[in-house]
Amino acid sequence: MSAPTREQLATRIRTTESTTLIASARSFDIAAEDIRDAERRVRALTCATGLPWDGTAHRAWLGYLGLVAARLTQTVRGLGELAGALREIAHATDCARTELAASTRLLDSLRPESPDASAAAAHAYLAIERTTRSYHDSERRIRTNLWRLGDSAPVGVPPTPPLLPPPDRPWWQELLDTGALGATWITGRNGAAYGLDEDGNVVPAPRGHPVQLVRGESGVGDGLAKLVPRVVRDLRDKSALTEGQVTEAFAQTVRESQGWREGHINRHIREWYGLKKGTDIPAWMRKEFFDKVVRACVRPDKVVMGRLPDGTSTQPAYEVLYHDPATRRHLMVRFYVKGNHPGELATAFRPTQAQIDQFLRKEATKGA
Amino acid sequence: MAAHNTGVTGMSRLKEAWTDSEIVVDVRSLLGAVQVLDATSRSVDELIRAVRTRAIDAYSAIAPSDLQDAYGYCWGRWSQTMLDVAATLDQAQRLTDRAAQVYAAVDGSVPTVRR
Repeated sequence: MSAPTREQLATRIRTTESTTLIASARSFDIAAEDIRDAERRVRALTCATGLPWDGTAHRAWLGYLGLVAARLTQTVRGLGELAGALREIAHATDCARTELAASTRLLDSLRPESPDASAAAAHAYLAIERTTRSYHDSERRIRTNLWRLGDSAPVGVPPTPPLLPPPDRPWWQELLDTGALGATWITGRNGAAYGLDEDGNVVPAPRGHPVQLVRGESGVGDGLAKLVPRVVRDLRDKSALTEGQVTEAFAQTVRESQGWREGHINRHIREWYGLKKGTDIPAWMRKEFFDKVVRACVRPDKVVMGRLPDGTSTQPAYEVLYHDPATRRHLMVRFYVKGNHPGELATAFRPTQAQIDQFLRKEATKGA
Repeated sequence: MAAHNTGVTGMSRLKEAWTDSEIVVDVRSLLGAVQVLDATSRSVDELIRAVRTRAIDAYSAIAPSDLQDAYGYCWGRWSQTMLDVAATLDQAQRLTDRAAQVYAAVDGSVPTVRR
């Protein structure tokens, strides 16, 4: 999720209908005024019938009317603030549209043969950039207020929006291993669901979009190969690595790594294939798992910095999350960053859902 | 609940058995309150219908974006609040109406006390 582009913002400015927003704001104001009248009538009732009727039932009745009146007061406030937000959107849109129109007129009036045409064009583009950024700032401010106002409505805790199922794809697309893998919410430490807003910020689920699981086509030599230079140190021309070269380099590294010792990796292979403890691992399984690990290194979907247990403490590690298209399961691969075996495979295993969530949370907040 | 008429139409004196205290009910005021609550409930219902159309117009008037989502979320929560308020008002009207009917029945059935 990345911030909207200048073109997208300009489209928003052009398509937002400020007159409709103003008309709606006026309706909200009128409704708020009418509800205020209703609230006054209800409060007047509690005074008018208070005297001649006394007793438990009357006190309960007064309490109930008090609750109704309080809710009406809250509604007046909510509608008033909603009207204010709509007016703010309309105002920001009108201002931005005027500025955008001026810059566009300037661009249209430029003659290429004019000596100061390029300077004027640069000035106009800068003005458009400024306008769209400023509009987006106002969008962010108003939307934050709207989320807060929505949260303050007395109707209980909002549920986490349901996730849409991944799109149905024809069999050949599945085989080609392209396209989206669906989406997921990120689970926070407190168990709450989080998503990303349009600017890529991590926000509570109702305010954001689910994190799209997209198979990263990071390209050969990108990602892990850059972070683990020992893998490709023997290759002469590092600027033009082929997939075959990087695959071979990673295969060599993995084969010689501490993490590929049978004493360590066998239990993860058994776990992946659902074999019982102590069962012999067929050669084809070992080979297939090895290929998956190498594939994860060559074309990692995502790479983040993680931690590895190291005696009583932990040490930094590169973590790769790879979605295996054949089994539709995730594979997590970790590489030592430093210590006795820098740049070697530390481990490869099927992660738990909590580990995937933690990884996605790190990935989403990487660089923030 | 013991009850007797005060001699003034519409005013019942009722003895609350559980507290042994006497209460006075102004049935006519209560019926007036029912009418006010009924009118208020209906006007709030009409308001909700009227404002809903405008609110949906506003949603369509905002370009698809997080801002539109935020407005949709906010309106959704506050429209639910308004519906809740309307339901609460309606409930208040029905409860008051029921109470008024019960008290009116008592008022009409007990003998008048001559003083």
